[in-house]
Amino acid sequence: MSSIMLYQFDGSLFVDGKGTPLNTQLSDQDKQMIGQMYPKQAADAKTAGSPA
Amino acid sequence: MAQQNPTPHICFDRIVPSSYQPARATTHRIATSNYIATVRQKTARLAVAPPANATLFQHVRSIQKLGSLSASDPVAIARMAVIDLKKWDNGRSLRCRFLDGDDFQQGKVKDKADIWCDYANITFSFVDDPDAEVRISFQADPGSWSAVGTDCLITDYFPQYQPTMNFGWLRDDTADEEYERVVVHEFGHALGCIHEHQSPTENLQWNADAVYAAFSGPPNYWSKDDIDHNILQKYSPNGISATRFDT
Repeated sequence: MSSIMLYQFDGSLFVDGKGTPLNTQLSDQDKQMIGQMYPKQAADAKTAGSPA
Repeated sequence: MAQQNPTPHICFDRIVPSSYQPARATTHRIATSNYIATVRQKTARLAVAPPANATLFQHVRSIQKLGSLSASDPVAIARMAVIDLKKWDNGRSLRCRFLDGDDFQQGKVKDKADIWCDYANITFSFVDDPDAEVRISFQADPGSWSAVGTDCLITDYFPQYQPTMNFGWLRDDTADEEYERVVVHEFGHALGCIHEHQSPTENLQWNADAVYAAFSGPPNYWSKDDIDHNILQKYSPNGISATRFDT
């Protein structure tokens, strides 16, 4: 899994030597996660006066 | 990736410790009562019976003391709860104020922070308000860090004349890719995200000796206590010897 919230750690720091990937941009999972935390659709519905 | 530096600059999230008791704060009652209201509101949403006033913070403390839990499911639930507790209201505009930094640095931060707004129902407005929720420095200390979500409002920990976010190594000659990596990451904290490692869905075990050796040197120069706190304990819900790590 990749995420901007996950920093790169070198493989030598882990027992299995695999390390973690370098993430320099928002991943698809990040976009999905933040969209769930702060959904845009809910706001649209709210401003349109739809019942909750 | 042809990265030569095995020890990257590491950020840390400044989560307000569980020993903090907002009820004792006397000088900033408004921010404090807002925070308590937020905690109550979020707690109520967790399908957990809202605790009575007297036990509320015991509850908060208990879900933050995750190191003592051994089963993975309660840890996952509690981790999500911690994130949820620190979330801003959906649709909110967060005011951001630069305490220092030149035009180049400030421009880069604005551009990169806004990347989140394409996907989240949150906007950032860069203003000079002294009471802006997010207060940004480039020179508070050599590290890069941020308060997590609504922790920004706790003025006992983040007084209004001090930053809630610092970029200790972003300068005019820093590469665009590094700006993006660090700024998007720190603004993720400001939105309430914690490090991905803290979501215990996959196993990875630290080699503790190698971790101490790497982070005690450049560019971080952390003490053993720093390394325990910032890496080994933080990213190890079950303790150093039986690490769960998300990758």
